[in-house]
Amino acid sequence: MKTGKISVYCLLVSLLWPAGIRPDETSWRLGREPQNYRLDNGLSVVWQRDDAAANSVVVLVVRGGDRDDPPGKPGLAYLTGRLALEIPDPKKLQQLMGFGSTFSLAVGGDYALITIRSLSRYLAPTLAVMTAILTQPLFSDQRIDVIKDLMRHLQRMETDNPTEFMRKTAGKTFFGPAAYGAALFGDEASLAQIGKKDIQSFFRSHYVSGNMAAVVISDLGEEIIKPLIAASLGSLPAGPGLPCRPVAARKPELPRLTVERQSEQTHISISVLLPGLTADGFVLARLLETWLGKGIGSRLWPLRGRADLTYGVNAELTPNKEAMLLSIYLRTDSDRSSEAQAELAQLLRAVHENGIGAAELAAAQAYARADFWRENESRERRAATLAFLEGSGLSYRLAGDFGERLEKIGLEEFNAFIREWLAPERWVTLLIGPPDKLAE
Amino acid sequence: MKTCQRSLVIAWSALAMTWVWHGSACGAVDNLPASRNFTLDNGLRVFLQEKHDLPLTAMALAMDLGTKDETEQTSGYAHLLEHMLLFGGNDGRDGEARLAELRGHGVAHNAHTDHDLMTFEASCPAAESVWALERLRQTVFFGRLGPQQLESEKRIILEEILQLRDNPVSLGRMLVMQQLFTGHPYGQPVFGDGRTIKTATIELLQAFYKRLLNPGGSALAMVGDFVLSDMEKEIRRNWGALTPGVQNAAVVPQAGRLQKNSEQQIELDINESHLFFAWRAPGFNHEQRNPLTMLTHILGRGLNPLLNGVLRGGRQAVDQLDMSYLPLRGGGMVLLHLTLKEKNIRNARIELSKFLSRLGFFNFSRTDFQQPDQSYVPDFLESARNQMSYNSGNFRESAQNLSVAVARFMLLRTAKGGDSHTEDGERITSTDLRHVAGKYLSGKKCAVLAIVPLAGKAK
Repeated sequence: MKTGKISVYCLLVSLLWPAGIRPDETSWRLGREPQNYRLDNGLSVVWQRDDAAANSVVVLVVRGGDRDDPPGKPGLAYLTGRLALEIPDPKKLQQLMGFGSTFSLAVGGDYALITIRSLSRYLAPTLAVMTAILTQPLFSDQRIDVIKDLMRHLQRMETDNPTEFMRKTAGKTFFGPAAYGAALFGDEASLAQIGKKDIQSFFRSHYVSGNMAAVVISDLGEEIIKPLIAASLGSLPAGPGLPCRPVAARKPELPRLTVERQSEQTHISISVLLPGLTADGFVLARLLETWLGKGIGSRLWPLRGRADLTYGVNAELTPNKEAMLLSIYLRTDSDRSSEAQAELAQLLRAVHENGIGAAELAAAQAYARADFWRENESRERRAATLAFLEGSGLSYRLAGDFGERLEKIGLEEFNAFIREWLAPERWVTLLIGPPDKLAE
Repeated sequence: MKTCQRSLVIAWSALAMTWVWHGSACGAVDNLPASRNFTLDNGLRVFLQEKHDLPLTAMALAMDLGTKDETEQTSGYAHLLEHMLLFGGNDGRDGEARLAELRGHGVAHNAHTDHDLMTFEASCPAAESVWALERLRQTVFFGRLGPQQLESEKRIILEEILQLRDNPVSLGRMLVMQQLFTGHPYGQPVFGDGRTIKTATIELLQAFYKRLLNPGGSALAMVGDFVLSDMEKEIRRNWGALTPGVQNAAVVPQAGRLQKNSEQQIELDINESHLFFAWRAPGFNHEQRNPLTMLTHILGRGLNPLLNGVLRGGRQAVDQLDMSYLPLRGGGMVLLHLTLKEKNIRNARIELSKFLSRLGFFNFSRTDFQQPDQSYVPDFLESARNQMSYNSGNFRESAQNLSVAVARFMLLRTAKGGDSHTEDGERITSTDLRHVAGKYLSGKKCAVLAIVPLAGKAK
């Protein structure tokens, strides 16, 4: 790699380093303390040793998600990621199969995550094969058509699943058809538009060391893992980090949307935009999500426990960098959908007006902290969390001091957050159910 | 908990537990975490394992009580009882106050009922381990069943059933299992018959579970950040005080060979079709459980499952596929789930049938080939061994997964089961795989269920 490119990249990183979360300031409480270092090609690597199993996980985060799809070409980030992971020859596929290694792709609003899983004894040959695939992907017309067909299937599956459809609809409502509202798997028009050159251009600009980071969790010792990572991921092409496309949230045209479906239950959700992603904002939003709708006995639980309206209530945070999104939802017998809408709205209004009390905040904090640990117990989930934090412009270190930050949230601060962001005029209600039950 | 996710936990637990249990029994295997198993005087089986990577503890109590214990008059009672205990009150507190108290201590809890067992589980910060363990004991053995809560849970279960009926994957799994085990206790729906649930009373529910809910028919597993000896003392003191009882559960008859094929088709308001195939398979304690687990992995899981080439290559009849094996006490089920366009259903069935007819002669390993050809063929056997080894390690990283799996294992495993060479995945050969393929899949009768979009639905 040319020195000039590294210097520019280092300068960018130092400017972008999030305030208040430098490594030496807080203690790490999520397994062993990870190390963060940089390879010669500029790739930032977070490495954590974990001896709980003789397994290794490598997550590559590429800063390029739905928001980076060019206008009129939603689905490009996903299509490129899938093609970059297509195995070009049967020999390589056989090798990976023999090792028992697997990989997967997840594309979000701001980034794509490539997860590589391997028995530790096969990590070196697995990474050798994977980096060979990633550095020389084959973007043939035939392969492009196959992946586009797969994306059409994924579009249909997304529509069939009310929760996934809610995510897609909420994104489109708040951001329009681009950025975080862009269809992850594209649509018929965009798939027709996207050509080989678009894919090559997206790949060349995004899949470079300065625009990526790696998280490695393994039982292998430092003396083995560092040379191994340098020899494999060090061969990823050098290149600078890219500025993100600007995102503008918009005021939703309608506060209430309906989608007709002949189903037994009606899916009812209320979504609100939250502030952009910062370390403090993320912890506040996670606390709100957990308090409202995660697990048995949450704040919304009375909709089940007292009103018998639903089997379960949920809250889900989408931590987009420019504006997080919170959706609160339940499913109820379509004959009771009006009652459930009214009860949900009443409960959320009460939450907005009354906020939270001291005892309830302490309980929510205790639950949210334990839940974060539970969620990140396995190395796969933990690596994905660290990579998400890196990909979103925060630091992986936030995972290590999440509990500490959570404890510091005071009653006034949390209630101010609730008052500002959960105001009823900010809500967008979505109903998916039988047409005759969707009336106001 | 979501049905599919839970089914995977159950399926994986069988394999992962072989390893953990043998380690615990031998007690001197290198690199294994400290663990201990013992039985209390009242019959409760206990397993403890230290795990110190995070300050968390998980616990699970499995009870020999499930749909198998129901009659026509008590259909759905086991699942109803699980709801009543999990969400009800005890020790002077109503259900809501109890749930709030648990959350305040950082405790996440849940429960699950299937045909064989009922499982209660909890996960908490390590500092709350003893407190949460006592709450679990109170929840299960000292739950207060009130008539008002009963009416509430009845309505909630109806919502649960509606939710399942809108989800093609959960619905398909449930219906095809009922189809496969018609006339056998495993053919009964866990949610029961709506009519019996509607007429259930506290007295009827108590009469149903009284003889079944006792420590003699239960197993407790704890995995987490505690000291073995301290936790053992705690358990002996509190759980040892429970009134003794014996295992009273119904004996499930072994499901024999399926006599005839069955087919069913239903419509839902969806865009993509789902096709389910189910075959009868050996039960939990059968010596062919592990070879069949490996075969289903080779066929329908991992990086490049064998069925991919058959159903997704060439004409691309299928968009997604997944194969699993659910070993239960009185028999098992191999399930293949295909997602595809409705117009491709016929083709997929033909291709699958052709392929399965040859499966009893398939070469799964490179060693099945002559030397010059070996480098050109994938080694499905080696691949599955390695992938399952990875998955097993991954499964055991979660204390909750591990505790649930061990508790279930303690109740389901019989002394005679698993003594064969096939207990050890490393020793399963291509011949073993061909044998189980021929015995359970090739040309065997099966249940088929198609869930297709509503007729005339405009796409």
